Order: sequence, then C-alpha cells, then structure tokens
Amino acid sequence: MLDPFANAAQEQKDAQGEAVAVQTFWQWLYDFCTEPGVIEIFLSIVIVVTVLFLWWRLAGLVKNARAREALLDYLLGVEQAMQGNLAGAEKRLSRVLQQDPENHYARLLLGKVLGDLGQAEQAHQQHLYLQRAFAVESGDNDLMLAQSLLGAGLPIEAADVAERALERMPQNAAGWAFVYRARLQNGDQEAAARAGKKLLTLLRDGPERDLLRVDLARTLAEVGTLRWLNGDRRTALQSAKEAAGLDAGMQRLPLLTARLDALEHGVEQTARQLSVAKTDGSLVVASDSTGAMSKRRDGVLSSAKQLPMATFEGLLEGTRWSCHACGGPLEREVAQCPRCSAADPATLVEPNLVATIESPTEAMDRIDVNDAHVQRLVRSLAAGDRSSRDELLQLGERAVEEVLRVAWKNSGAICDFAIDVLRAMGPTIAPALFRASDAIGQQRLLSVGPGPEAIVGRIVQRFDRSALPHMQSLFASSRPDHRRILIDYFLGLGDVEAFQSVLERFPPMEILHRFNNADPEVLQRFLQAIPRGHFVADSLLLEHTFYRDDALLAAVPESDDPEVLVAVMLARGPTRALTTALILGVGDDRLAATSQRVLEELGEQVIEHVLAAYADPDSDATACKRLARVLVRGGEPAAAHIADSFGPEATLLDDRLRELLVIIGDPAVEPMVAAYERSGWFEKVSVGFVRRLNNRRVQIAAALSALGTKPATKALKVLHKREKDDNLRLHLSRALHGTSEKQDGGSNG
Amino acid sequence: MGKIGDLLRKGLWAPVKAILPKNPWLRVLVYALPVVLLLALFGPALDVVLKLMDLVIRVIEPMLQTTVGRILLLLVVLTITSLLLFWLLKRRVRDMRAEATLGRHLQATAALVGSDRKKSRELFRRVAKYRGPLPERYPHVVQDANLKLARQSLASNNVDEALGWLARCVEPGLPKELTRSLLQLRLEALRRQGEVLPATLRREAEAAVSRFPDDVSMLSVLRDLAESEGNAGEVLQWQEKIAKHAPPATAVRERQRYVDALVAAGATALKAGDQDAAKKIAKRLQKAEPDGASGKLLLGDVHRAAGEFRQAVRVYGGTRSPTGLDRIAELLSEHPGAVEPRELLANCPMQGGLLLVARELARAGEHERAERAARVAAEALGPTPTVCAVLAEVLDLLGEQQKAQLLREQTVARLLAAPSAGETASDHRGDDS
Repeated sequence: MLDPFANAAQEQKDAQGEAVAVQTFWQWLYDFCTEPGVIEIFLSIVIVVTVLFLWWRLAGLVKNARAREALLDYLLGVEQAMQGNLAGAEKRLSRVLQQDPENHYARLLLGKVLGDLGQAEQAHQQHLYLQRAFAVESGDNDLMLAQSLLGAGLPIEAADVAERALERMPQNAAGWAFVYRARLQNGDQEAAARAGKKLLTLLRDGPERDLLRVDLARTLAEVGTLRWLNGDRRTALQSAKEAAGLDAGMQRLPLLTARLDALEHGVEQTARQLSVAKTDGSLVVASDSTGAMSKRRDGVLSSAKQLPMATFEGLLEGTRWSCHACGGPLEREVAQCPRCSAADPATLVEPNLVATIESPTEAMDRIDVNDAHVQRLVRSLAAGDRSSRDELLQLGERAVEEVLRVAWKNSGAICDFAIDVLRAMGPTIAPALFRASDAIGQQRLLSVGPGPEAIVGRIVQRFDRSALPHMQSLFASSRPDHRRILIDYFLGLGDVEAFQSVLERFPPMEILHRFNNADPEVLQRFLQAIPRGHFVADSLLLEHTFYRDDALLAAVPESDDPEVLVAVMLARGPTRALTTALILGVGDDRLAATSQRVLEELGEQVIEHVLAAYADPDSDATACKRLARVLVRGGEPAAAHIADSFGPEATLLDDRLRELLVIIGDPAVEPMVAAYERSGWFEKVSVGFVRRLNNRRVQIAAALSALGTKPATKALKVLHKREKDDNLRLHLSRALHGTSEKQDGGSNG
Repeated sequence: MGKIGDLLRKGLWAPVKAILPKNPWLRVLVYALPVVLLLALFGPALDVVLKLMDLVIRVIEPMLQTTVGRILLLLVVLTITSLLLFWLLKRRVRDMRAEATLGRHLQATAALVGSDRKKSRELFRRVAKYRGPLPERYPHVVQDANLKLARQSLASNNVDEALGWLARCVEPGLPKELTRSLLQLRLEALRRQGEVLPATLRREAEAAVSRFPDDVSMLSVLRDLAESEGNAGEVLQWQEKIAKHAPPATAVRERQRYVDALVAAGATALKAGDQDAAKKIAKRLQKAEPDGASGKLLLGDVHRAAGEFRQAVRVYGGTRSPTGLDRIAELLSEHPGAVEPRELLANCPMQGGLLLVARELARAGEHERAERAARVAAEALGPTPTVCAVLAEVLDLLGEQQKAQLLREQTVARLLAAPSAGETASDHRGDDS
C-alpha cells in the first residue's frame, strides 16, 4: 500500500522540476540574447533584410514601368476606352501594340474596343492571339473571345467558349449573362435556362435581378412549351411550375398551362371553358397544375378599334412581331432584340396580314360577285382550276348568264367546262338559264351560227323531273329554240311516257333532229327505256334520217328490253353507221356479244366488212378472235369471201385466213375450188402465156390439204387432174401427199 | 604614345570618378581632404584632430559596454549612413520613387483591364495618395488614378466618393483625354448626385459639350436634362447628335431611341393641333428611318387629324405594316364609311385589308358582302389569331353568335391541341407566336 503523503511529495517535486525546466529555457534565451553582439547582429540582419525587401519591391515596380513602351499611349488609350472614345482608343492601343507587342492588357482592351466598334472579326483575332500565340490563360480574354464570336454571328461557338471560360471563374455574373444571351440568340432555350438559373444565384436583389426573374420565367415557359410539343408532359409541367415560381404573371405561361390542362381534361373541354370565360369577360384563374393562382385578364387588351390581335387574351401575346432568334415578343420592328441582342430580329407573327394582294380589284370583284369576277372564274375554270368550279356553283343563278355566254362563245374544253358547271347547278337555275339565253340572243347582232339555245338544250337534257314546272311554259311558246329545248329536256328525262307529250306535239323530223344532236349518254338513256312495240322503236328509229346507230348498240346492254333495240338494228339493216358501230362493238367487252349476234344475223351483207376488219393489222387480238368467230359462222358465203381474199404475195394474213377456212370445214371446199378455178381476165386473154401459179391457188391447195377431209381430198384430186401448170401440179401433189399422210396417220391412230 | 597615355589616365581615373560624388561641394571636400591631412602633419592641426577623435572615443566607449548602447550606436550609424546615401543618391531615389509609382499605376491599370476591381482600386488609391516626384514619362499618374477611382466609385453607385476623387483632380495641365474623362465623370456624378441645381448641371454640361461636341455621355446628360424639363424639341436635337456619334455597339439602340423620340414629338404636336410641326417631324422620321413605317404612320395621323381620310388610308396602307392596318381600323371605327371598301382595298393592298373590308361591310349591315369578304379573307390568310378574331367579330355583327363562339372555341382548341405524330416541334412552334 502506498503512502499518500509520499505521493503528494513526489507530485510537488515533479511540478517544481517542470518549473525549473521552463525557467531554464527563458533564462537560456535571456542569457543568449544578452551575450555581446547577438542582438546587434540580429537587429542588423532584420534591418538589412527589410531594406533588401523594400529594394526588391521597388525594383520590381520600376522594372515593370521601364519595360513598357509607348506608356503614354497605353494609359491614355485605356482612359479613352473607358470614356467611350472608341476610335481614339483603338488608334492609341494599336500604336502601343506596334511598339510593345507583349503588352497583353493593351491587346485585351484593344479586342474589347474593336468588338464595341463592331469589328468582331478583328476583335476575335486579338483575343485569339492572346489565347494561342501568347498562351495567356485568362478567363476575361476567353469571355471577350466569346463576345467577338457572338458579334461575328456565331452564337453556338460563342456560348461554348464562354461556358468553358466560366469553368475557371464560375462566379462571374457577366459571363453567365453573356451565355444566357448567346444561348437565347441560338434558340437553345434549355441551355439558356440553365445559364439563367446560375446567373440568378449570382445576382444580388435589385432591379437587374427582378428583370432576370421575369425573363427567365419566359425562358422556362418556352422550355416547357418545347417539352409539351415533344409530348413530355411531366417535364413540361415542371418547367411551368418553375416559371410560375419566378413570375406567375408572365404572359406566356397561361398558354402552356392551358395546354397542359388540355392534356389532362381534353382539348375541347378546356377550349370551351376558356371561350366561355372570354365571352363572359370574366377573369380566368390559371390552372392549379402549376400551383400558382395567377389571375389573368381575359378581356380585350388591345383597343376594340384596332384589329383585335389578342382575341384569346391570356393565351396569346398581343404583339405583332417576335424575335426570330429567341422567340421573344417585340413591340415593334426594332433593330436589336432587347432580350437576346440579335440584330434585325423582328419577324412578323402574322406575315400574311401584310402580304400583297395581287389585284385588289379582283379581290373586291370577288366580294361583290360582279360580272368580271364570274368571267374570271370561268376563265380559270377553263384553265383547269377546280376551285373556280366550286365557287361558280356557290354563286348559282348569279353566274348563269356569264357561264352560258362563255359556253356559247367558246368551243371545246371551255365550252364543256361551262356546260358542266351549269348542269351541276341543277334544275333550279332553269328560269335563269332561259332568261340568260333570251338576253344573249337579243344581244346578237347577226344570227349567224347556232345560238345559245343549243347550249341550253344540252344543259337541260341533264335536268331531272324537278325542272318540269319550269318547262311547262315552253309548251306554249312557238319559238323554235324553245321547242328544241323542250324536246331535249324530255329526251334527257329518259321517260318514254313523258316523251309521249313530245310525240304528240312535235313532228317526227324535228324529234329525229334532236335525237341526232343529243349527247350519247342522254340518247342511250332514252333508248334503254323504250318498250317493245313503242312508236319510237317501230317507226322513228327505223327512219333513214336517224344516224345514231352507235347509240342504239350502246344502249342494248342496260336496256329494259334489249331485244327491242336488236330488232331495230336488224330492221334498219347493215347501214354504214351500224356496221361500223357493230365492228367497233366487237372489240368492246360490254357490247361484243350483241355486236357479234347482230353481225351474224346480218350475214353475208356484212361479211366483207367483217373480213376487212379481221384483216386490219391494227385490230387487237380479242377483237380478231371475235370477228373470226363471226366469219366462221358465216359458212359458205364467208368461205367464198375468204378464199378470194388471198393476195398476190404470201403474207402472215394468209395463214390466219387458211385457218378460218379449215375451221369452216367441208362447206368451204366448194367455194375454195371455185376460187381456185377462177381465172382473171389477163390470164384468160393470154391463152396460157401467163403462168397460172399464184398465191391464191397455192394457199387454197394448202388449205385443202390442211382440211384433209374426204371432200377436200377429192377436190384436190380433181384439181390435180385438171391442172396443167407443172408448178401448181407439184403443189397439189404435195397437198395430196400431205392429205394421204394425214389420213394414214388418222387410220393408224 | 599620347593616346595610350590618355587611355591609361582615363582607365585609372574611371573608378575614382565613379566613386566621386556628383555634388560639387562633396567633390571639393574629397579633393580638400588630402590637403587637410597634409596640414595635420603640422602639429597643432593634428593635435586638434587627435583630440577630437579621443573625445568621440570617450563618448562611444561607455556605450560599447552595454547592449542598449551598442544597439543605439548601430542605429545611429545606420541612420547616418542612410542619410548620407540618400543625400548622395537623392536624384536617383526621386527617379526611382516616380518610376515605382508609375509601375504601381500600371499594375492597377492591368487589374482594371483584367476586371480585378478590388486590386485595381487598392493600387489606384496608393497611387492617388502619392505626393512625391512625378514620373517624366507620364506625369499625370495621380490625376489618372483619381479619375479611375472616381469611375469605379460611380460604377459602384458611390457618388459622393466619386465626387471626392474628382475634386482632387487638378484640371490645368491635364491632357485632352483626361480632361474629357474628368468632365464626363463630373457631369455624371453631379447628375446622379441629384442635389445640384439643374441650371448648374446644364451650364457644366454645355461647357463640356462645347469642348467635346461628339461625346455621347455628355450629350446624354443634356438630353436627360431636356427630358426632365419636358422640352421635346431639345430632346430631339440632343438625341439626334447622340445617334450620330454613338459607337456601333450602342448606335442601334440610340437610333431607335431617336425614332421613338420623334414619334413621341409627332404625337405631342398632333395633340397640340400643330399639324405643320407634325408633318416636319414625319419627314424627319422618314429620313431617320427610311425603311421604317413610323414616318408614314405619323404622316397618316396628320392626314387623319386634318380630316383627309382617303389620304390617311393611302399613307397607312403604304407602310405595309400591321400597325398601318391597325391605324386604318381605328380610323374606320371612328369614321364608319369614310372610305369605300373598294377604295380601301386599292389603297391598302394587303391581305389584312380584306379583314378590314369584312368588318366594315358587317358594320354597314351588308351581310352577304361581309360574309363573302370574310370568306375571302379566311382563305387568303389562314387561321391566324387576328383572322379568327375579326371573323368572330364579323359573325357577331351578322348576328351569328353561335358560329362566332364556335370559331373561338375551334381556334382555342387549335392552340391547345398537342402536335400529331408526324408533326415536329419546329412545325408547331410558329403557332405559338
């Protein structure tokens, strides 16, 4: 066990020992300093070092000053730059650099001065020298380099350079303001918003910060709009909230808010709410989706006297111009955007408003719907402008006279277009049409050529029964033009019963004239409705003065009773028009059956025409095949025609004709022999001096050989026996040989 | 031989010459010292010297025994040596001080150019306090520092301090550049200070402008003074000069301001019924902004005020601007039927004119023509906000409120509709404006 007193004594001893040690150090220091010469040497050293230090500082300053050339120009140039005398500053600083090219500050300031003088390219050169040639690592120089790039119209590069410079000096508010402006000028709203947020944190409270808040709110709203356009609702909403947080009363925000609301509640509902609020003139509270209960005025901002640009107040900004670079609204056509500093930024929001009207007179004519306008419409219609047709149809009766006049005065496409328009206007224009016809007729000085009635007739042919009341008055008229129109109208109706009234009132010759002049479609429609035993079928259509056989044939397929029209055609006989129509009809799938049938029934009377059509090299294969069928069914008469049709020289057609003869078969043998025997007058007169060998006989021999039937063989033998020409005999022998081989083959088979 | 002797003599004397002080009295002393020593050899003189030395040693000896005495002796020696050196190199020291101040001024200027305001202010302050000899190469160093400090004070909105620095500037003898700065800054400081009487400020400004007639800053002070006095003519006069002399970076803004001032002056003249003056201003406007519409708009306003509506419409229409259309709309609202629709369109051959015609016809009760005009306008212009607004108004006038309401709804719906898949953001951006 330890003694407590002994411990205490020990502790006291230790404490005294430490005190002694401390006293010893200070005592030693005192003793050392009081040694002779120590303090004096120390003091001397201090004084000498101080003097040397001061000397070194002063020498540095002096050296700095003496190293500079053209000092006066430099310092006065700086002052001139500060006072805004840019031309003087540029002159002096350029002179400085000529004498002292390593004066980097002079070069830096010269770059700035040149930039302010609008010489961005030269400013860029100076900053580039500093950065590259002298390897000066200066954020200020980089910022000025960026400014010169912006001045030279390169906002993207300018903003990139400035952002790189700001990595070295992130607290430089002017630099961030520049980046914000450059990004806006570049149209990169998102990057601008980032720079703006950074700048906002650096600015102190004051008017500048307030302005930035408002502007940044707009930028954020624009970012939100872009995100909305890209379909990113979530981030758009976030941007809207940020914008509302900065400036809830910003004019662009309501449109974004309404758009986001529309995404949630539907466009129609939101639009209706907004429109109703507009009509009530009430205040619309912005959606709470942004969290900002911002009230916006939805009344009429602009004067009611002016053109109401801002109809949708609160949604659209009531400015006529916007900046083409940053999209900000501009009150007028300014030379520099106050927001992004872009030069000549003003772009019209509605450029169409000031677009030139090519012809104010025409525009006014269109509004007044006067004759000039209608004439222009018809002309443009003729030129193929379909919109003119719609407008003419809208004009209706107002345009009838002019359109009719154009149809009458012109021919071809213009006439057809005009008639088409008048037809499309419908039967309601009938009275106007007759009035117009009368008016035009009265204006004619010389009644040479057809009048407008012919056109009217063509038009009314397409009218339906609703025009009947307008037609009644024409029955009482004795004017020939009215009579024609009346016949045309009833013809166009396609109603045989209604046509009875025409038959009762008008002579057949007059009706036949109208038949002959009628449009094919109209006539066909009428013919299709003719019943069996009707006067028209039994009498009128059989008249020789009826020339529309083509219409007869064309009406058959959709006719109520096709046999009526077929009978008419057969009764009319093979007129040139009918034969032509029938042969053409053979090539038409719709009419082929009827045509073939009628041709077959007409028989020998049309065989020659059919054979001619068959031989036509321009006929298509299908038509030829159908014509061949007609010829084959023609039998012996057809064979006689075919056998006579071989030409003096062998052609490809001969093969086809031989085929037809072979298909006709034995009935063709007799006509072929007859054709073989037939000699021309020259042959007869020459008494054997002219050779009998010709293509006809060779082809007939070949056809008989190809036929190969007993009558054909017999005929060949007879011909061989009678033939005196050695060559022909050779052909006939070969034909006979071929026949016998065929028969042998047949018997073997 | 003689040359070699001369060279030898010069070579031997060169170190002696270098050591010899420049002061002629010192030189006399140095030359006289050997003579005095020679004389000292002659007894009494030497004794006197020895006794003096003995006296000095007797005084110093007790001091050498103590530390404090030694320190005092050291300080005395150093002081005497310094004073002697200073006395000997007085001129060189003066030069060095001046050069050092200039160097400091250059450092401050470099800091200013390099945007290090704090450092530049500190250095400029030290230069401004300097009262020693001025450097020969730039004797205005202190005044320049004062000006720079004043400019910085103004930049930090410390007007009184700026006035203080400017007051320290000595104007006589200043170069033209610094004088210009001094006047410029003084004007600016006085203007901002706000307690100076306008007459004083005007006198100062006019005096400054008479010396530097193309200084934009000074001209701006005069313009602001004229503005505060409501003297529109004078404002125009100064602003025209400012627009003429402004550097390219601000020229656009100043020209715009000049145009605005002209427009304002024209409106004032019209309001006062002085149509001749307004006409003159319109001509000046057209000269200032040949491609702009403001001159013609003012001229149109003059015709309108004179009751020459046709001419007014023609001039407004000639601007080919939306503002021109607005003015025509205003005119027609105030004077319905003043111009026939056909004449209106002929004088205002813009597609926006169709809207005016439609509205005019609707107001005149010509329903069919109004409807047709509205249709023509809609076809020509497309569904822009103005078109929809005017058409809705026309429909309202025609008594078709439901259609008008529907049109509004459709237009709003079009604004709110999200872009379709094929439509790009850039396609849709134009709709917003």
